[in-house]
Amino acid sequence: MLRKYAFKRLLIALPSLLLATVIVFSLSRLIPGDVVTLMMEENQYAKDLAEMRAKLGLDRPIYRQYLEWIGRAATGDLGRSLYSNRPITSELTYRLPVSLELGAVALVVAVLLGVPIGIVSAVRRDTVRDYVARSAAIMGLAVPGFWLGTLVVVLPAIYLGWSPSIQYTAFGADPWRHFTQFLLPGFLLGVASAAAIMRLTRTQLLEVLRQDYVRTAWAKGLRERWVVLKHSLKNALIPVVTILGIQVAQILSGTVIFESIFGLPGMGRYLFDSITERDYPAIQGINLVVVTTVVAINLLVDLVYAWLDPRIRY
Amino acid sequence: MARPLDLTLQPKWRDRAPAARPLRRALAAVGSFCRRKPLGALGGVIVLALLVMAGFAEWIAPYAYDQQLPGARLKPPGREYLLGTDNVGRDILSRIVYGARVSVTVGFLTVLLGNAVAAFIGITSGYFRGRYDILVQRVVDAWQSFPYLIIILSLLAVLGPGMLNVILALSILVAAATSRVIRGATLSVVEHPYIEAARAMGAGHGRVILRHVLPNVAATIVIVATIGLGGVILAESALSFLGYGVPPPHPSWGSMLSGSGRTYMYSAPWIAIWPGVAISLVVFGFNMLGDALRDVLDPRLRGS
Repeated sequence: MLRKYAFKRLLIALPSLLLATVIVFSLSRLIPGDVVTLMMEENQYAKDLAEMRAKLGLDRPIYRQYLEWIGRAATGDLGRSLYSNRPITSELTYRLPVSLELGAVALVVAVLLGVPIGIVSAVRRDTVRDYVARSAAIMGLAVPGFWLGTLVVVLPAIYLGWSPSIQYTAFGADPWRHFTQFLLPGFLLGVASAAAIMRLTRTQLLEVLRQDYVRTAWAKGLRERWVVLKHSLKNALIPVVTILGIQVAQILSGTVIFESIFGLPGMGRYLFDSITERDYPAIQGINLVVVTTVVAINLLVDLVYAWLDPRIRY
Repeated sequence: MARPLDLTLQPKWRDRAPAARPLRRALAAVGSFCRRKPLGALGGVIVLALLVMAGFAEWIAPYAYDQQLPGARLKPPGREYLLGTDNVGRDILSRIVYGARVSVTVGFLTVLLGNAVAAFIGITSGYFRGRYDILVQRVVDAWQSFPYLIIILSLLAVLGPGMLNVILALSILVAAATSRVIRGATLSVVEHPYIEAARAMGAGHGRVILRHVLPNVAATIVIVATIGLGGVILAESALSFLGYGVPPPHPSWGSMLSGSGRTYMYSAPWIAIWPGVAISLVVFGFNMLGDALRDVLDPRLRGS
């Protein structure tokens, strides 16, 4: 049964992924002519216009360009960067793990903050704790991440004479420092997601706490901890799992900002640099990898969802 | 036997009709909204303040946004310069007031454009269903699989910077996300018997959609647009922070936190603090107002 559902879900995910690759591919077709000239003159990516167009693949029919590009991408070849002339795939294999580590820290922070606070807020509904938690969550959604990041770098430097390191340490050089450098940006990156998770956990748990079977559990004289954690939480958390997929996309967006502020050489930073250098093949490659990651994670989330909640396998 | 129509009832009924006094009715509605949703009302006040700042920036701001005041570099907040000055001697309060204009312009135009497209996609998709719906939903899926900042930066890299391109790029994403919600609302509206009745009376699809479906999903559109405004303003400030938003000389709140001012923040933290406070307050305001509107107008959307 689960296998059938997984197959169905895959049938929906694949066309979306294919369409997404068409969107990524179309990006380079939208480049205005004068920008192509700029790429040739300012960035010196080619000697003349014909060579520039050939490098961008604009000299062949569009469907052949797409098929060639996607065919090579499927074998792991994303072409060469115009700026560094290095293969984009090798650049990404270095940078993707940095972003994934940062994203993983953020996701863990989001869940560890969001779920417990959401539980307390629902169980102690309309108390001071609930109001504080809800207000904090609303602020967490409203405060821009780049501002928090800036303040965390600037303010301690002024008032404490200390500032967080913005120098990247590779895993091989110092594993402990490598890990700890992700904690602060990961925490800040996870705050907005934590707020979203907290709000959903709260509404879902309130919904479940009103159910008849929960009243039965109370009537049996079970302790609060048991009723909430054993009987209610499981069902309340199922919808929370689904928004994790959305949060992953949110967090990947944030990597662009936090990698720039904290000097981490991840994929967000790579995208930013590639845009500055008008390195379109690299921009395409990054987008392709990012969108594949998101679709894969969403597929995984949906499968976990179906496994948790058998009602969903229609 | 049909009852004779009691004509004496009619004037009384008309007398009580609230439509006769639209202003009083509107005020009463606002009053009850404020009593029931104080946080939402607070959000409304913040949004109103933002609109006034954007509309009357010339009268409110003490200086012009690009005026470099002689001998006033890096002045801390005080009586003369309420929020201080930046590294080239521009009054930060004035720049924040004018910055509201950028946020409002980008926010409202994006949401207007995005929601118009979303309403078209969402309503047709939910009304006609079938193959068209499946196809459209897969395209929406594809757009939604992109992390928003990554695809918008890539789009802007191709389109080039500029306010119009920022609005275009942001509205594509708004349209994709919003169309989902509008489609959902449409799906529940078309189940109602009055749609079937309208069809049975010979109304064409266009008429049914415009006269019967659209008015019934209008509340949903207003709610999603209000919450969306906060998100768009946040996204615009992030783009401006990265240097790909609204280009200078327009003072965008996001760009006030980036660029040359960054090195001066260590000696003048107020350069970094105020623009962020402005963004947070405005996004908070739109979220609170949107949440309250949702609870009042369409409780079905709760939790979405």
